[in-house]
This record gives sequence, structure tokens and C-alpha cells, in this order.
Amino acid sequence: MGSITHKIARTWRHATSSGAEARRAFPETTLRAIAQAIDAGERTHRGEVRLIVEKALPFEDAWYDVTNRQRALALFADHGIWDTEDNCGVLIYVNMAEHKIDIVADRGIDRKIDAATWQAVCRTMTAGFKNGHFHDATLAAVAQVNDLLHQHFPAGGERANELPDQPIML
Amino acid sequence: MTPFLRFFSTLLLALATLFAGVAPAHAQLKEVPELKARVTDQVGMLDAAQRDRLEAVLADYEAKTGSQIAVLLVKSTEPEAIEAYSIRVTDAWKLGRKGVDDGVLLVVAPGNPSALRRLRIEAGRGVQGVLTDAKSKRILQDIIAPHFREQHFYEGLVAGVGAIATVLNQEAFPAPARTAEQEREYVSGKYLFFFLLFLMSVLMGTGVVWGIGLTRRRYKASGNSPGEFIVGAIIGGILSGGGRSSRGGSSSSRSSSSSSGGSSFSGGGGSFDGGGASGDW
Repeated sequence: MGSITHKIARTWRHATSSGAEARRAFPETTLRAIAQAIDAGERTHRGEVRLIVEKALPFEDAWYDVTNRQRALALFADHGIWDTEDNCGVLIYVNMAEHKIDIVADRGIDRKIDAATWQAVCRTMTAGFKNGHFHDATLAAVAQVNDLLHQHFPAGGERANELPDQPIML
Repeated sequence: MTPFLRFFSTLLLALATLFAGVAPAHAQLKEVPELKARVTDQVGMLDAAQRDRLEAVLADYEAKTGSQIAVLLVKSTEPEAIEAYSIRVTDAWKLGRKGVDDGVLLVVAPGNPSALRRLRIEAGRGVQGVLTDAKSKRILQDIIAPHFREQHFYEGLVAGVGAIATVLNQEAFPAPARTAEQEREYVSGKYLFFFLLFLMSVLMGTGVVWGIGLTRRRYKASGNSPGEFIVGAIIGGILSGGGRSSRGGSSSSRSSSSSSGGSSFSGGGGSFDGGGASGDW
């Protein structure tokens, strides 16, 4: 029974979250700043960074015990972040109702940057989010990602923007 | 009747009786053991710990994929060839799921003369597409036989079962059935959820009707009596309190998850799931 009540509580929490919290945490100005930071970063490296903020898991996913990571992987696929020239896509996925962040890095990046490094980026965000500093923590994390990618995948001259830089609010 | 003919007929009769006596002995095929475990060892090739370990591996595989793999070790299958015997065994055991036919039987008969062969993989109809005869042969010859030659029976069986599982994994079989308990939990949980939803909507509906009644009465009275004001305040309090308490709930979960902040970590490892990190706040 414990798992059922837990299941119902989780589904309820996700089904009733309104998105107001997400809009408060990521207002228009923040989203614009993030898009600019991503755009500026991608001029210095070959990676493609995307941020997706979701207010809550879809009803089905919440009910069927889909984890935050699994949801992040699904979105990584749905939004075509796997489809980059150097397999250099990075997804930063924030789920507001779940209070969780998952970073998914594509194959090309995984060969050069290890998990502990990503965990540090993750911690930058979680530490800031805990105190409500969504704007600063996200921009700091994007800056870290840009630095990492610049180290390992420096841009060799002009390159096309493969994926949009605008954060996605779901 | 000449003496010769008489002798001949007697001889025939004697031969006939002799064959009549011998023939049933020939029909005495090795009997199929009862299916009690995934690993049946009639030879004593494995010690108890090895048998349990192999059994656990097979049970785990079945729980994960639904496909059944069984191992049968017999002394010999004489007078039959191992193929004939293994067919009889699979007919009796009915391995694999009904309709999917995804059962595999690995038979080892170390006492067989080489003409009757000592190893056999019997694949259910559903898995024959991936576990072809050629692949089965490769598994037997290249994976199991080398271990057996060194008398490493357990290692050979584990390697063989692993190879069979790898081959089966290439085909997408239906997901394993939920165990009875999971099924019960799933069904009851689902109903409970919708029941609560229904209960909630009924309560809300009643509240709305009540609220409308109150405002009407208030209009008629043209002026708030203190009693009505209090009732209105209570209803208002319930409605807004509900919202507040739910928000309170999420903040308490925030504090509880912050203690484990950054601890939930999955390294990935899938083929396209290159790397990354997880954390909560």
C-alpha cells in the first residue's frame, strides 16, 4: 500500500502543479539572458546546449514511475538534441514539481568529459535553486558548460547554429 | 513336412519369441524427468552452490525478459539420439510462454557415445528466428565445448546460457507479465486514484452549490448577518487553505530532498545516453 499512496501523491503533485512556479522562477528576462549566454557560448565551441524547464511530469509519466532522468532522455530524443554534427548536444533539464535537474550529454562529449564534472555543474544549479536563485544559478551553470565545451571542443572558425538557443518551457 | 522345414519353422518361432521379448526392451526409452527447476542435474556435474547460482541467473533472466531457458543434464539418452530425446523433453515441459513460444532447452548428456551426440540446444518456435540452428551449433561448438573439454562444466554452462540470452536479446519479445502482486497493486491503485478524484469532484460540487445558496440568501437579506459572514469565511478558508496546504507540502518535500541533494546519481551507460548528471534541490 505504501507504494500506492506514494504513487497517488506523486501523480497528484504533478497533475496539480500549475506552472506559475516555473514562470516565476524563469521569467521572460531570465529566458532571454540564458538564450544570449548559450548563443555567445556556442560561438566559442562546437557544442549545442539546450535548456528545458518543465513544470511537472506529464500525467502518464508521473503515474508510471518515470524518473526524472528517463524524462530527460525522452526529451533529449524528442527535441533532436542527439542530432548534431559532432554528437555534442547537451540537455539541461529542470523539472519544477520534481525539484530535480538532469544533464544529458551526447556520446561525443561523454568521451572527453567525465560524470564527476557534470555532477559539479549539476550542483551549481541545485545549490542556487535551493535558495531560489534560479536566474543566477542557471546562468552560472550555462557558463560552466560553455567553459567545459570550449576546453574540449573549441570552435574552429565560423559554424552554423544547429539547434535553437531559446530555452523551452513545457 | 521335412525335418529341415520343421527345424526352420521352430527356429523362426524361437527367433520370434526372442524378438518379442527383446523388442519392448528396445522401446524402453529414457524417461523424461519432471520439470521441477530450471536446472535439472541428474549426473551430478554441478555442486549445489553452482546449481543454485545458475538457477538464479536463469530465473532472473526470465523475470526480466519473459523468455524461459532451462538446462537439463542427463547421464545418457541411449538408445535415442539426443535430438529425439530433447524433443520429447520440450514436448513434455512446454517451456516458454504460450503463443510466444520463447523457450530454450540446453541438454547435456555426457554419457552418450559420439554417434548420439552429447550437446543439444532445443529452441522454441518463437525464438528459432534468432536462435537459428547454425547459431545454436556455434554456441555449442565454440562456447560450451571448449570449457567442457577442460572439465569446466559450470563455466561452460554459464557461458552457453549467456550466449543464448545474448542471441535472444536481439529479438523484441513481449514484456514479461506482471506478477500477480504487481497486477493487483496496479489495478487497485488505479481505481483508488479515480475514486479519490470522483470524491473530490463531488465535494467541490457540493461546496459550489452551497456557496451559491449563501449568496442568494445574502441578497434576500440585503445585508450580511454576522453568522453568514462566518460561514462564508469558513468556506473561503477551506478553499484557500487547501491551496496553501498543498504548497506547504511541496516546500516540506523541498527541505527533505535537500538533505539528499545531489545524491541521486545515474551514470547513464546506454548507447545514446552518453553522459551527464542528476541532482535535486
